[in-house]
Amino acid sequence: MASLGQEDLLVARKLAQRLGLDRLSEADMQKLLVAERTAQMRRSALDTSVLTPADEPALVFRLPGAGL
Amino acid sequence: MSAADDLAFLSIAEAAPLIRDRKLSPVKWTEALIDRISRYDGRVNAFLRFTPDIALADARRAEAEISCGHWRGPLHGVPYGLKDIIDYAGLPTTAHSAILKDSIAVSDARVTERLRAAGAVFMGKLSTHEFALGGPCFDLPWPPARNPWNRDHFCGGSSSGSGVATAAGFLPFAIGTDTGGSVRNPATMCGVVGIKPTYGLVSRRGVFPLAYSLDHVGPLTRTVRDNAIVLNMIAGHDGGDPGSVARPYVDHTAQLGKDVKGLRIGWLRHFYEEDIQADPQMGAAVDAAVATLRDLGAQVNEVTTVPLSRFQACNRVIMGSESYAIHERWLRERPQDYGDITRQRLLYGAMYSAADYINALRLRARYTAEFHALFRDVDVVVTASAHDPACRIDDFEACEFIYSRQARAPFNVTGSPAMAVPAGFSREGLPLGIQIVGAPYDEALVYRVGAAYEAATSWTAQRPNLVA
Repeated sequence: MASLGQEDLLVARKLAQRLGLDRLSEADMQKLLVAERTAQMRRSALDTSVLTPADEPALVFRLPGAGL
Repeated sequence: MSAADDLAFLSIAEAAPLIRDRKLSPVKWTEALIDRISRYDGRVNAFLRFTPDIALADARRAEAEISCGHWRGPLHGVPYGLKDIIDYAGLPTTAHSAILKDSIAVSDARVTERLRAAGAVFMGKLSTHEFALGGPCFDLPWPPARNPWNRDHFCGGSSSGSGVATAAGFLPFAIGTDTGGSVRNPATMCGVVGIKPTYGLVSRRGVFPLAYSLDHVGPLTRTVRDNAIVLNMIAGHDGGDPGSVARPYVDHTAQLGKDVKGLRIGWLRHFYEEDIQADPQMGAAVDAAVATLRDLGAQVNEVTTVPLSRFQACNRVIMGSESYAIHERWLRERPQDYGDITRQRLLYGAMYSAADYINALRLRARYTAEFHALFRDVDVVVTASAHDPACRIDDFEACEFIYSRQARAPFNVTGSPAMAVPAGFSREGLPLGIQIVGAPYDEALVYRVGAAYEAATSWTAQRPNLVA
C-alpha cells in the first residue's frame, strides 16, 4: 500500500480521534480510510428507496412468552 | 490404499454400525487418526490445539461402554474437532487471536455438550480466521491453515481448520460456524460437504459471536449422509440461546436415498452469471451440476431474486455493525493485538451509522420474504457457493478479491438452510462446488438433493495427497 499524504493523514487522524481509536498506528490510518470508502460503497448498495415507514427491521423486540 | 488410509477416510455412516457391532474399535480408529494428524498436520495447520490425550480417553470410554452393550448412537466413538471459537470446558477458546490466547472456557458450548452426550471423541480445536472474520493472516500466534489439495493455496474460511481436517482425512467431521459463508467457503475450497442450517436450529451458546443475528453453527463432513447424521445430533432447542427455535424433532437422514424425480429445482443463475460473474470453471461446474440434476429427473426452472450485490451489502452492514459492537473496546484499547486483515475488516463497522444498521435490517425483512416466496414454486434452489477456485494463500490481493465474490451471504440474511457440495475440480486440481438451498427447516430435502447429486458423481470420493 502507498503511504498517505499529509492531508489524508490528518483526515484519518481526526476520524480515529472521533471514534475513540486513539491507539491505532500510523499504518492503520490508511486502513481507516479504506474502511470509510468501503463502508460508503456498501451503504450506497443498500437500496433504501424501496423502504416505507411501515417496513420494520427483521429483528424486533419481543417479550418473553410472546406468541405462545 | 493402505489400511491406515482406509481408516482415515472412513465415513461416519460406514463406521457407526461397525462400532456398534464391535467390529471397529474406536480406540484403534482414534489412534490411526492421531498418527495421521501427527505426521501431516504440520503441512496444513488444521489444528490450533491437538488433544490426543483427551481423544484417547474419550475413545476408551466409548469402547468400554459399547462393550457393555451401551451404544449411544451413530456418533459414539467417532472423532471430531471444533472450530476454535466454540467452547470446550477447560481448554482455551482462542478465536485464533492473541487477544484470547489464554482464555479458558469454563463450560462447554451447547454443541459440545451434545457431542459429548453422543459419545463423540474430541480430537482438538481447529484453525479459524481470527474471530471468524479475518483472512489467512501470517501475523497471528498460529499460522493459517492450508488447502490439502495444494498447500500453496487458500483453504477458505473462516472455518478453515474444519474444512482442512475433514478433507485431509484427519477427522470424519468437524464443527464450524457461518456468518457470511464460513462453513460453506472452506467446504467448497477443500472439496467437502458443509451445511449452514436454518437460523436457530443449532444453538450458538458458548460460541464466540461474530454477528449475533447472522451466526450459524454447522457441520463439515466428507459425505452428505454424514452431514445429516451430525446435524441430527447437534440440532435442538436451547433456552440459553435467544435465537434458538423450538421445533419438533426431524430425522435429517429420512429422505436420503430417495430420488429427485419430479422435484422442482430453482436454478439461481443470475447470482453467478450476471450479478457477479463467476470464474468460467466454477460457473461451468454449477451449470453441469444443474444438468446432472435434470438428467436425474428433477424439473429445473430458472428463478430470480434480489441481486447478489444487494444481499451482500445487507449482510456486510449487519455483520460490520454487530461485530464492531463486540470488538469496539478491544479496538480502542489494544488494536495491535489483532492481525492486520482482521483489524481492517473490523474497522468497516466503525463507519456505519445506527440508521445504516436499521435500514439493513429493514431490507433484510423484505429480502427474506422475497426469497422465501420462491418456495411456493420450487422445492430447493441451486446456485454457486464460491465464485472462484482457491487462490494462492500468500497472494493478499487475490484473497481479498475472491472474499466478496461468493453467493453464500444471501442465505445468512434469509436464514435459509444452505449446503455446499463438491462439484468437481479445476484444471489445476482445486475443488469446485455448488450450493443447495432450502426453505426454512427443510434441511432433509436439501440433503436428499445433495445425496442424489453426490451419488450421480464421484467428487466426494476424491482424496488429497498429503504425502507428496
